[in-house]
Amino acid sequence: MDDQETRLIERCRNGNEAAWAELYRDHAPAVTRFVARMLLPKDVVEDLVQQVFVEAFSSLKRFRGDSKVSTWLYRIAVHQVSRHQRSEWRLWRRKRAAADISSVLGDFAPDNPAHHVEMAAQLCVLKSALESMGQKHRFVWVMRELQELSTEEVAAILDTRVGTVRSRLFAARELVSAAFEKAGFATNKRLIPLPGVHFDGVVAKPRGASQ
Amino acid sequence: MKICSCTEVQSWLARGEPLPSSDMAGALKQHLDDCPHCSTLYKTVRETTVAFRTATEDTAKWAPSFQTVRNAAIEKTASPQMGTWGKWAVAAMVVVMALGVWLYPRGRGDVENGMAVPQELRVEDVRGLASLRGGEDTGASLVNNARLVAGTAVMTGAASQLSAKQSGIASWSLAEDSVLSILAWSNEEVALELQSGEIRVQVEKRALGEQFAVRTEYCTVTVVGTAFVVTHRPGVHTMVSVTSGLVRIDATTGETKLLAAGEATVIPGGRITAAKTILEQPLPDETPEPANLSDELANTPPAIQETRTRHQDDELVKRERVPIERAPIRNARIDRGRPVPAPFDNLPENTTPSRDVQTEASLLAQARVLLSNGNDEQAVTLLKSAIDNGQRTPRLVGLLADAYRISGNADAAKTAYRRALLDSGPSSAPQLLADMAALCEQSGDHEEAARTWETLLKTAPNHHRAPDALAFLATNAEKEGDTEKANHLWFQLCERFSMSSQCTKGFVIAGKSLLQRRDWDAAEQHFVTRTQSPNKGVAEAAMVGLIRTKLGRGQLGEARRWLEKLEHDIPNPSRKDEIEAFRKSLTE
Repeated sequence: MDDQETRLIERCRNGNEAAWAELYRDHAPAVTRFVARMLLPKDVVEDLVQQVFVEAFSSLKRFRGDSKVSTWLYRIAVHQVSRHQRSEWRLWRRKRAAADISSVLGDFAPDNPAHHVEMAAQLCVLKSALESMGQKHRFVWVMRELQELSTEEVAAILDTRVGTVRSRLFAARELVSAAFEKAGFATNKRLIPLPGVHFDGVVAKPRGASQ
Repeated sequence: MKICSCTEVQSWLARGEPLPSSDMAGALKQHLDDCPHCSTLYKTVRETTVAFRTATEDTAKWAPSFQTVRNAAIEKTASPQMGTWGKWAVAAMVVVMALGVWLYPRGRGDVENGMAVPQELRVEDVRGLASLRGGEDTGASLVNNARLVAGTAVMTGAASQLSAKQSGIASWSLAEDSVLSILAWSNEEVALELQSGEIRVQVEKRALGEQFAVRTEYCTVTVVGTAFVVTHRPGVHTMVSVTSGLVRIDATTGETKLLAAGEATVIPGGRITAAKTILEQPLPDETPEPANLSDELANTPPAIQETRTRHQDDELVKRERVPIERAPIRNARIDRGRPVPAPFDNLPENTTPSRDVQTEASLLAQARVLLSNGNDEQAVTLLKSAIDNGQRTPRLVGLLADAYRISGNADAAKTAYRRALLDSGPSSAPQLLADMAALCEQSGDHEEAARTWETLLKTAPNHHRAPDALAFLATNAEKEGDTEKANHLWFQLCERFSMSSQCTKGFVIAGKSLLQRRDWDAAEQHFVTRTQSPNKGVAEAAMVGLIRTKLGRGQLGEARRWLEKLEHDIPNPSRKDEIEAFRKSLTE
């Protein structure tokens, strides 16, 4: 944690609301994107982000400053998301996220409109792969590939070894590649199993997946 | 330089680590330059990941306002915090209450004449023939109020049905020709194994930790909520549809899926397809037509004048007329529960005038991915744009028809089916005819359904949907009062598809009509040929019919002989009352 962050946390601890607002403004977008990218519905994302910052503001006194503020906030976010998804009925509710994320992905138009539909199909494959992934793998994949955090940062957030993060990332990437390969998004006829009737079972269980 | 295999390259790319040597880096780059498969796959994955990242950037806007978060944080800080002892006290109270709730249903029993009786799984209703397998009473036929215990199996015969219930746990009903093993049945755990057939289950509220599962060859369906139907065809698939609540499906391949009320899924050989919603959807008053197809078909008369197909020897052969009329559909029920079909998968390659097979395969793959993910509209857009851009192949048009059907646009689906039939010729795509006929049948367009089924019977008389076609046409003829045609079709059905589920019904209807006409010769001929049928339902019906024929002719000795044979061959007949009546009249 640099000096600037230390001063900001100190002001927050003293109950300075302007400092709270600054902390929120700096970190809320990244936290929100992270929670949304875990394929959660919009209303759940709002609730979880609120819980993350309420938890952060109310436990500022316990924050020792050993890690960066962003790492600490990500750690709270991971905890909140895990807690949310623990119950099976909540797992089922995640289905609603499909609509929210699909609408976001559906609005996305690459520069060349002719590729829009093809890209939509590719995004669909990626979304399916993510949905089928275990939570631990998805955390790692989203943090590395979408949040663009370093392997060391991810390991610090998840409180695990760097090697574990690497192996989970490897398994997650393999799973994503397998999904694209199975869906026919490659050119080599020898290696492409020509698509059969059903395409939803495109994702295989990742090697070493624990969930 | 080192040479990499595709597996090695994909492994390194997935690892994303710095390469150990420049030699390896060179080999990897060389492989990516040379191998279109790896380079395209790598490029597509990267491109999609970046697109996903870009598309979800805006989700940052979903963050609640700072004021909301601030107020919630202040409220939490201001609210009195419960001490450690307080938390323990609350936890203890919760445990006591949970124990009370858990124990209550176990102490509860059905009260009969003021006395509490132990709860058991008992047969509630038996229609037709149902028997027990396993245990001491193996082979015993099941009657109302018979007790069912774990470790036994229940089997229903043709046109039979059995329902059983234990209050506090569940009630279930087993359809005809089903075999169900009761592996475990207690308050804590229920495990049923459906070996074949169909079971409808209505589960009462389960306490936490209480398991209720129905297993088949391909999956385990575990109850999270209340009511569902499992249909299992050995060697083919298992189909699950949920009527209320929630179930979890664990396929034997390791896949898991949660299915909510109104959804259904098919597990072909252990693989779960996308869940589809089954809804009663009223269609809009004016169903839009597909733009360019409708323009083109607007000039096509309602009846297709002539279709042609190219035989393998490249000789053009004229095919018969396929009269199909267009009819509006209102409030049609569209089956959205079916897996995404590929009607032209059996189409001979030479009838597909595809200029770019790879592109066609890729388009089909993309459209199927979209359909299986429930993006019906996008699949329609993709296929329609490809077709409009001149890539009109029967496969693409056929899939477009399926996409329209799945999205509930029945009129457009029919138009596209006609277009596909026009392009390929009905003889080349019997599955398409069957789908078209089923769609017409579902949407209440019986006239067109009849014509399409007839065409199917002419072009592919041994198609696996032919029994459906014959049964529909026979029922239709009955409704129209054409008994002779109906009987002829039922006879045909029994003759050609003796093991089909529709055969028993057809056999009985046809036989009854002969008996009513007192046409004893024809009746005897009809029934005697089926007395040795491997289909027990048909064999029983045949012997009963034959006894009636003999009684009608006054041949009492012959009738007695057939009655003895019936009692010997069919130990647990479903027509007990009828047989008892025969016995009485022949004794007197």
